[in-house]
Amino acid sequence: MTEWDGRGMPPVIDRRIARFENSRSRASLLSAQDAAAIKAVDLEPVGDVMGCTVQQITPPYTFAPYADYQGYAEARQRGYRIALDRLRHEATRLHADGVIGIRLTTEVQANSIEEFVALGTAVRARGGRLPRTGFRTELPGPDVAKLLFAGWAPVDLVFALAIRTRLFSPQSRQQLQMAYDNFEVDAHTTVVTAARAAARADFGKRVAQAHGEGAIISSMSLVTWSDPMYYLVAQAGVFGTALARYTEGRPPAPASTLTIMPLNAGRRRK
Amino acid sequence: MTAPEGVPEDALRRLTEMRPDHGSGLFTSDLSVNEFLLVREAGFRPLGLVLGSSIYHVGFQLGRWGRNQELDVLSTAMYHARELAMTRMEAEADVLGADGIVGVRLEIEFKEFGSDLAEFVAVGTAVKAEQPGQWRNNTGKPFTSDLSGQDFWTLVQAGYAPLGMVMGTCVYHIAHQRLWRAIGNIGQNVEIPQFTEALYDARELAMARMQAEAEQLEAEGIVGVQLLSLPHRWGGHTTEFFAIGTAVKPLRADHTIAKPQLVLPLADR
Repeated sequence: MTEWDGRGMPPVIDRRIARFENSRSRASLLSAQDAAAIKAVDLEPVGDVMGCTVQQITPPYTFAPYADYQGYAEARQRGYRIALDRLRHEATRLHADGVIGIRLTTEVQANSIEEFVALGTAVRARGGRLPRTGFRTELPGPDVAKLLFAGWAPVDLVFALAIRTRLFSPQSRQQLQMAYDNFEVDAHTTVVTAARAAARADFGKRVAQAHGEGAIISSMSLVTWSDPMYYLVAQAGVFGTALARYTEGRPPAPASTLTIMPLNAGRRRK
Repeated sequence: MTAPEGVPEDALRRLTEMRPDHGSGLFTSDLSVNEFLLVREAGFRPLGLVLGSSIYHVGFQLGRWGRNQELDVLSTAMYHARELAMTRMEAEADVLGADGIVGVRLEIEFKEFGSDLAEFVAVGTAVKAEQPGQWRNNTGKPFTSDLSGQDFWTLVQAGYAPLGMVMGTCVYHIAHQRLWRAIGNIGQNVEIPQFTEALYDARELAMARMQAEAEQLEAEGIVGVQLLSLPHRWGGHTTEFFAIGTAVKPLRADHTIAKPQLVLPLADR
């Protein structure tokens, strides 16, 4: 087997596609509930699709007053983007209309070597038309079905990631360690707030770029650390699905919610 | 408009652009799909995710070894830091022109930055009612509620409106047993009245403070109350007793909902 140079798609994808084409059995990552739910909105599973990439990502060397985490943040975003693009590529090759139930995970393989994996189930619209082909979403089958019934369609999986830094001198660090009273710590609050604000702003922009009219956020993360050169680093991430209004060719949304009382023990959210 | 303290400038600009009367109408929300659809059906439009955060240095206070007592320095810290986070979240909602915030989560996380530093963060989804009405509370702020979308829908159906999240906190030091008593109790099955009293006391303080907040909002009652004991990182004898709930007011005189259909689900959940 010749070594792949990293350009385009890994050659093994051709074998995956050939395997799908030569087999009549369909693999999917859907639960029975997912499968039943998407059937109700005329979607059928095509197959399980995957995108993955292994990236080397090294934190930058900082030297006051320079702390440039731009490249680091871009590298992490590139990991997610490549994994998702490869997932979509497989779905397109299978003539699917979209991918649902995407699970996006990362795993550190070794020091600064990280794997990004996107796994999902490609689906095809049976007869009916979908607003945009090539949609991707983290939402499971029942959620996709509920949205379509209510006149909304998933458009794309959108994510944003931002890193902000702030110098925190050894003197301030020491002062903080000695403190015994109550106060808000400005430096830390500012850096965390700035990272979150940047990630949220970028997320909004990307939802608009994907022609979404809104978005349901599935997860927000915040990782903080102090780097050896006395920088406070905050990395904020936002992941979610962009939605657009869509009513054409669909049964009208149920007029009202049916109030039902399940005869099992109630459970509280949390 | 003056910038509320602690909300970054560019965030304000972005939120102003997200206002429904400014065109784009793009919303973001961390509600689940069920909650999103139910909140819409309850007659509210999600405007955007709102968030407030504060990283706080929690002070230091020693309890007397053998005494039950409230550690007021720590209680004050918990109050003040939560207040900062909530106020910033409310400020963001205010910029969006929201009537309220639903699905609020109020969390505390001790950070990698240092052992006494905790991040207090409040996150929720700002909503606006489709029909204009008196939704803001008596302080002119958007209402806040930690109820799920499902509970919120049911509450509105039943003719109640949330006024605001109310909370009471009390960080309490539970006395250690005196040596002679501890020795006397060895091998016995007995109540430790000192411990019972401490837990009673601390809970009572937390609940009473929560109730006082509800009275300030002129609420009819508090729903969804949770009474938590959070040990944080203070060791076995110092615990935060935290009561939180949503204060509600009646929207109309009768509070009946459509008679529900009974179903027997085939799943256990």
